[in-house]
Amino acid sequence: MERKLKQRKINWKRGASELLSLAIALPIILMMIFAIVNVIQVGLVRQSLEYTAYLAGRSAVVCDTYDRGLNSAENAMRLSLSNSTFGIDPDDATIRIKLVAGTTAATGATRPDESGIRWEKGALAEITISTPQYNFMGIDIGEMKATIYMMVERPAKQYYS
Amino acid sequence: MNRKIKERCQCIQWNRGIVSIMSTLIIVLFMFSLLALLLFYNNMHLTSILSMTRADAIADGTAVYAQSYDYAYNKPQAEQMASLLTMYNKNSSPGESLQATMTFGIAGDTLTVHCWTTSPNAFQKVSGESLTIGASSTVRSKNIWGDIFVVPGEIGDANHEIPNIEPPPNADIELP
Repeated sequence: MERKLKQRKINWKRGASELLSLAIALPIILMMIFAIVNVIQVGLVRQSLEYTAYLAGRSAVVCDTYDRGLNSAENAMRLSLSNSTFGIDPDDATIRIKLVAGTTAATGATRPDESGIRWEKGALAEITISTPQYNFMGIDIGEMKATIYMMVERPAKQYYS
Repeated sequence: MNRKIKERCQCIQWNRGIVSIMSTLIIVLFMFSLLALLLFYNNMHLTSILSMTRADAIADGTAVYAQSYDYAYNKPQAEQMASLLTMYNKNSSPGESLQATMTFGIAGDTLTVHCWTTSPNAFQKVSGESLTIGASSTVRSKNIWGDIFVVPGEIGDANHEIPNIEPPPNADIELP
C-alpha cells in the first residue's frame, strides 16, 4: 500500500529529459561497444590467420609430394584455428597451395590442374588460407585471407638425377 | 496533436538532462580513445607477426636451398633464393611492404635474415608516419653426421652450381 503511494508521488515529467537523453545516448554507447568488440575480433582473427598460414605452409613444404603437403597443411590449419580465435569456424576454413615459381626447370607437373612447376626443392609455393568471419552476433562480415610464400624443401631431385 | 506535443516539450526541464548528455559525451570520448588505442595495438601486433613469419620463411627457405655439402652456405645461391622469397612475399599482404637483408656469420655456417614490414598507420593521415617493425631470424648449418655420412666430391661440385631462375608461364610477378 505504502509502495503504491510512493509510486504515485513520482513526478514522471521531471525525469523525461533524462529519459530522452538516455534514449539518444544509448545507441551511441552501444555502437561504440560494438565497434570495440569488432576491432578486437577482426584484429585477433587477422593475426591468427597470418600465423596459421605460416604454420600450415611450414608443415607443407617439408613434405615430399603436393598431396601430402596439402593434407599436412590442412591438419595444421584446423589444429591452429581450433584453439586460437573466436568468430571463425575451423571447418569453414579452406587452404590452397599453388606453385608459382621455381629455380629449377618446369618440365613436368605433379598435378595437371596446377601450374606445371615440379614439387621439389627450389620451387616457390603460395599458401593461402581463407575463411568466412562472423561477428559476435553471428552475422557474416565477409571473408578473411592470409597468404605467404615459402620454398618447397623436399625432394631435392636435381642433385640425385 | 502538434500543439499537445509542443506543450509537453515545454513542460520538460531540459536543463536536467544535460548531465546525462555530458556523461555520455565523456563515455563516448573515452571509448573512442580506447578504440584508437586498440586499432594501433592491432596494427602493431599484426605488423610484427608479418615481420616474424616472413623472416622465418625467408631464412628457412634460403638455408635449405643454399646449404652446401661442407655444411656452410653458398652465398650466391642464398642471395638468389632470399631475393626471390622477398620479392614474392612483398605482395602477400595488401597494404604492407616488406624489405629484407641477409648477413652471414664469419665461418659462413650461420645466416641471419632481417625483415622490416611497413604498414599504413591507422592515423597516418593525422601523424603522416607509417609503422615499421623489424624482426630477424638466424639459422645455422651443423654437421650432425660426422664421419657416418660423407658427401662425394662430384655431388658437392654440383651443389655449388647456381641454377638459372626460370620464370614460370603463369608467374604474376616479373623476375629480375
